[in-house]
Amino acid sequence: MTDTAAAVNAPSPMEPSMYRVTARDVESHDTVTLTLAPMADALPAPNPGQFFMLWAFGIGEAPISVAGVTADGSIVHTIRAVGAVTDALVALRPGDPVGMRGPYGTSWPVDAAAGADVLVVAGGLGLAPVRPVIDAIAADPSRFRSRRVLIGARTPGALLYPGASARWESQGVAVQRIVDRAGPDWTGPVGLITKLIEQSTLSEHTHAFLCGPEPMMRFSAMALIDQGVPPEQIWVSLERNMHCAYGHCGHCQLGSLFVCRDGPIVSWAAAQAVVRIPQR
Amino acid sequence: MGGSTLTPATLIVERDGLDALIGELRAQHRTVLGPLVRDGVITHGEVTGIDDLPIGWTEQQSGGTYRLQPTGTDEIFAFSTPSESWKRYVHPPRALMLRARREGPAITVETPRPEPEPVAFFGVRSCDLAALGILDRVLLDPEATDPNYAVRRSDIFIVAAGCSTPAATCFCASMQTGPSPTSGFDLSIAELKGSEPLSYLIAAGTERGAEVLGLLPGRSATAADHEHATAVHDQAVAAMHRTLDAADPPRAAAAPEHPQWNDIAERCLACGNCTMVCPTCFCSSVEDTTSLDGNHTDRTRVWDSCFGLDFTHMHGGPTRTSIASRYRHWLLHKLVTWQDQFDSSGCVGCGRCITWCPVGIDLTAEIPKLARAATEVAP
Amino acid sequence: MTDIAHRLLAMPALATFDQKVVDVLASQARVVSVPAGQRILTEGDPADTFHIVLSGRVAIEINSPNAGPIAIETLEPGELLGVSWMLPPYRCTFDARVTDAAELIAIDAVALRAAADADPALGYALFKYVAGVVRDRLQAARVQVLDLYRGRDD
Repeated sequence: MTDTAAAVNAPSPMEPSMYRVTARDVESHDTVTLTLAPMADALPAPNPGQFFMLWAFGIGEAPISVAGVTADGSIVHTIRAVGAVTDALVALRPGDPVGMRGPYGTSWPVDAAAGADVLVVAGGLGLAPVRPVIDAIAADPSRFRSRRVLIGARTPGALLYPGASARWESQGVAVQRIVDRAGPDWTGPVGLITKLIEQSTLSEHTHAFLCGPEPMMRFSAMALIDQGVPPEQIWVSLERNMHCAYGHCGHCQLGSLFVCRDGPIVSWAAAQAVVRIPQR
Repeated sequence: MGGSTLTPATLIVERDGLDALIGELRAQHRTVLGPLVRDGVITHGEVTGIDDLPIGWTEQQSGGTYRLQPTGTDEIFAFSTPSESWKRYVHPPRALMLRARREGPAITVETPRPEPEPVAFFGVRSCDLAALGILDRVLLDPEATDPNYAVRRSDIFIVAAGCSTPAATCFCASMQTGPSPTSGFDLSIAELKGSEPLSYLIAAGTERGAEVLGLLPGRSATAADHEHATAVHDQAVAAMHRTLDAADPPRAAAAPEHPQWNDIAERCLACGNCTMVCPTCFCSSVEDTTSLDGNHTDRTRVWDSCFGLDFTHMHGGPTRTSIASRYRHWLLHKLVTWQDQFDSSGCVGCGRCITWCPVGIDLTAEIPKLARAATEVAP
Repeated sequence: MTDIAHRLLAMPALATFDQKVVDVLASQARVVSVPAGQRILTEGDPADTFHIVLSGRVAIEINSPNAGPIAIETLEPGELLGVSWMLPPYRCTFDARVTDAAELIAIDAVALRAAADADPALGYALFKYVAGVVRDRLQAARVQVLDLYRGRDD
């Protein structure tokens, strides 16, 4: 029997901590990166891949993956306006309050990739949740045998974090970018991100971290497996509707997974069966 | 079992003994909730004495049908599952989770907690007792505890009641959750159907149950009384014709794209009734409601159903758009993935989802069809 | 073996080719260097040459009056430029422009077609090669149609 007496006094899992926007960087017409600092006590530091529930007062909450943690412990979130809550979050300005609870979910197993070839594959806004992985591998070259980052985007203008990309390259990370369509100003590659995967040298020593739209992750995982990367070393970040973020509301269920709790980071070995059943 | 040598573990009482039991629980300042007839069904509500109980009533249940019927006897427990489970008392349909106020730049937040209220659940069926255990595993998970559930669950005196008269929709015996309660109660009543005078075998499951039992008028139970109770139990088991073979749900899960799912979807209205009456369905939505001046927000947790189209909504639309995919999610969660998540089935065999389905979809009939379908598609 | 045959065999896509097929390809091939910005195929022109990229990058483009040339795919080292030479009416279906100074193997498609017609085994080997490229580009085009990275307001 569960210890009901202790549970009675447990803190409310809905209790937000108040943070304040300290910086707002516009990434594109619908996407901003917010830096959030605690007004009082800080929440526990997130691991790469985890997410927070962000609360826009008067509107509601949305799950947003952590795109970084600054030296002073502020949390960095990249948010695209796709609904009422994210519209409100994107509209926040420096000084505005925002509620946060978390961090929630599983994280990218970066430590398990020590000594191995690390490949990050990110599509669209999917670069935000893997950015902490890239920052980590960029800062610590001696821990990994090789470090490669493949980034896909809709157009050259939609590529996130151009400044950070240049920094990663200066830190010795091989960064390649590919877009779905481009005008004459773009001299880089055009096409699917799988084209870059096919051109990479991969092996059973590769640990891959994938984040982007689900079809992009599926095709990428297949291309990786074709090149000998074991499914257990391919990690994906899943996304589903979430209301509570702690496994009680049921919305995020995908097969046996509560994506909020058993995800968002899941090995391809565990994810492939559930993401390949058409849900429609 | 917390038995004491000073208090009896079992007792035989008559109607006045049951009345005294309700009186004693009320004397302990408990709100006693028990079965009663209301709105044309046997449901739960506050009871103050045995006269509030559904004496002389039973019901007929089948797919999409519920009818009250007089028994012509003065039996109290001659019905099966009340229309509603106990879920609403421990996991209410609406619960305030957070209240926030904005004054200038400052936002203050409180997370209200319900007042602990001593209650007694009287006449809890074995299936519903099992369902409370399942809800406990979900909502009191040490990794993610719902303290409001814990408060509501913290002081419930449970008087279980063995089921002598299963409905046609019942299949607790095949789910191994009934018809007689075996644990998780303070007291458990077995109506000795056909006894003269009509009497009840009450067993204590806890120390505090035994203490209450010691205050009731009655006599010691004899071997014959225990045999009578066993006979009632055996008759109830024999009267249950629906079954669910535990080997079938995993087979059904192996054929997620079989056309049989579409056959169900053509009948299913996606109304969500099954999820509302299910004693273990716990899904909810979290809704923020804000005052017109924009300065006051209430966050409410509301029961939700995986049959709703919005349930899986993301930017770009819902991920389960067809009724087939939503029915499949519900059924396979209840019977298969629940095992992976919580080490038990999510189904206790109460049959409410069959009775309250407007088109009478019967999972005990669908699962074997789906399981057979799976073997057909297997190589 | 000629230098070109060596370079062809070094490409993963051609590594499984018969020596004989490679020799035929090499016999009709020459290496060309093309500066960035130069167009090498023009939509509607006869498809009498095809290329394999050795270095640099080539964009397949569609021209549109209001959007200008839009790159729909780029070809990287090892990739085949041009599949229209294989099937009638032997006409280029897109523009191709070098975006990053490129070295390419240019192969005389007319001579190769004649060789393939005369030797079905050679023709089958070439057809499998080209069909694989067509399949990959079809998949890419279909996924691009999904516009997976699109936002609500794009």
